[in-house]
Amino acid sequence: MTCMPSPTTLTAALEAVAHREATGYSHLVDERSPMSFVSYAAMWRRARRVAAALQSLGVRPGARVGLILPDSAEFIDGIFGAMLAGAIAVPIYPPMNLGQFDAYLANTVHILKTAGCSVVITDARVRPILGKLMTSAPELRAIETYAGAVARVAEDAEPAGVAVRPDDVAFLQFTSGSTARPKGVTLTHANLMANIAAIGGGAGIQISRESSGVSWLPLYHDMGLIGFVFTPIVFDTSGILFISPLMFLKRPAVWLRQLSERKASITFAPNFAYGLCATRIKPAEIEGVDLSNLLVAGCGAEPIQHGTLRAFAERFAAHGFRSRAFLPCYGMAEHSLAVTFVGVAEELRADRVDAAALAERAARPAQDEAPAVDVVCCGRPFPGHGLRIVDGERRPLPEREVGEIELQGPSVMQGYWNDPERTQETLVDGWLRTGDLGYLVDGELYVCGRVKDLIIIHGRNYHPQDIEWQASQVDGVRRGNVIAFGLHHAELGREYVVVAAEVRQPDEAGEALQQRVHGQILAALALKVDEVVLLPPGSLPKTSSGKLQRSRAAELFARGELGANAGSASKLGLLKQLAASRWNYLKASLGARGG
Amino acid sequence: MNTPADHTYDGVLAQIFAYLEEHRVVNPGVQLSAQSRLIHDLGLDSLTSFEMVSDLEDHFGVCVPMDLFQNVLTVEDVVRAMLRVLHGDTAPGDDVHA
Repeated sequence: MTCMPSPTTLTAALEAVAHREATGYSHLVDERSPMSFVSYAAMWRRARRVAAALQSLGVRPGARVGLILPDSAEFIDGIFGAMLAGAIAVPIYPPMNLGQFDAYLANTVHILKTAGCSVVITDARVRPILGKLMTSAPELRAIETYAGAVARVAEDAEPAGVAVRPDDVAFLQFTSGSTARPKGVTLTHANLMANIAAIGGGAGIQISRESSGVSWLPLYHDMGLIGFVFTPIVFDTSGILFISPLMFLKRPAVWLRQLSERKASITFAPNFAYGLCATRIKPAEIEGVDLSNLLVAGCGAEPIQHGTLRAFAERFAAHGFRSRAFLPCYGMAEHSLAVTFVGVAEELRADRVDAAALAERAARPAQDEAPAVDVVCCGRPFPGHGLRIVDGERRPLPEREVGEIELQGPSVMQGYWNDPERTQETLVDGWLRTGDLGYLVDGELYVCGRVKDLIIIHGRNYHPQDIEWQASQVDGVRRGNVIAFGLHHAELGREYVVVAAEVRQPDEAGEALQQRVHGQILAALALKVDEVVLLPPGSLPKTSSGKLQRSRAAELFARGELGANAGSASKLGLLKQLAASRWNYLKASLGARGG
Repeated sequence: MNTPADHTYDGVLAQIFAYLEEHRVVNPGVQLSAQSRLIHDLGLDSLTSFEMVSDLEDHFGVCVPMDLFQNVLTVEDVVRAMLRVLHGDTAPGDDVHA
């Protein structure tokens, strides 16, 4: 088999495994229903049928096809089907629980218009709520259900006359938009194949044909889609189990039970998922669970907290989990998916640095008594890819100095779809500006936060993630439900630092708890917070994917609308002033980039 | 739970109220009722709402298909969804979480 040329497109990669009837993907929607299995061979057949169906709907090469498919098997057919028709797939997240349809529809219309989708494929449950979209997105000609679309053609239908080339755009990854309207990251087959080769290769997680994985990650997100749908096919692995993200959120133990049952070797998840498992799983739910086959427990997609991973490792050591399985990584959609990985089976490492020095952009190893921050090591960039740390004037910085991370190489996107302005801001002089802050030690990357979210006090930089983490440690605060931000304050001549924290029990939301939050942050980070706002659960703004929205929280606070009924009345005068100085705040936050 | 779970409307409602009381996710000033909206009135975030569903599963010894909760807005909607599971044609039978 070694004489076979490596495929250069995702469609060729799928074709290369199209003879495999015994290996493929399993799907678990709820624990009572039987798991469904779709072999690689069946995926090839089903995707070709979808491609033929799209052609019968008038989809031509280069056309954009929106995919709003909650069912993971249908979604996979849809994205490969679009590619086989030479079209550009646009994955869009399905509506979440508990309503909030107005915001959902506004976001979806924005994506459909920006991408210029002519067809949307969805399912029978979602379709009714998409009815209004036709009038809002002028280029949209048809909203079809998956079942309705494939029924247009015979079961063994094939797409006609399409040649997929490496430089063709494979799909648009719309970023979840924590801070701004979603942008369509444009990735070619060549981009994706380069990143996938790096992910699975010797400098990555060393995927073999025996590798098997379990993932509950949503497939409209890069880590779930590229990491668990595309990569296993390219490496012809034995299989993946997809668990519905909703089922994982409802009962995190399902993830660990399935890892155990399938003796899976690979999984990935954001930091919060490991925290959820450590705190919410009851012992009875994981009786007999054995995690000793797990070689790679990847952690990425959001800031990694050393304490969270350690808590997980301690809790599940009795189930055979080894902390060496943790594989912290750094990545972003604009770089296809992955940027750096820690080596397989390396011990989880964090760099304990001086908190005060870090605020001045120097990552100095902490002395015994000084307030310190643990920054998790995210590993090395891939062969053939470039990574550098630069200062505000984009001059490269030496090791242990904090600056913006910039990237180069074959995984870097083509740009943001239909958005030349933001493309020019991001792709500069052959480098991708990530907007993330980090530093290097021995060539390994340590990520500290986002450039734009930085809180700068007297020239010192504080990363909101660190402040939020410290506030989360205080008993009574809802762990992980904290937002820290700075607002420009004309009279103070510096930023006004606000910590907005949700409390576990409303009757605890008093001055004593506020003082404990103040004290914790002061002791740990040497930062005097100006105001601690305690809020009832569910008050903080979040994105559809559950990420905290710092800039939105700052905006609400400045307008006096953050936790309006939660007792911050004495600050009214200040709020008015902040509202008046909103322009200053905007300038300050823009100036923070690279400055 | 030693007492058998009450599979009536009132029984399910009481269990949801018990969960919301215990976890204090209710704004103090808000009167808890069947018409309370989970997000707007009670401040549930998505993770808490999932936690509530798994609590109900444990209490009633059933598995709730998540798509039943796609259009849930109020406490009463949750009760109705639960009753469909408890009295549905597909009998719950024994359960992995029991």
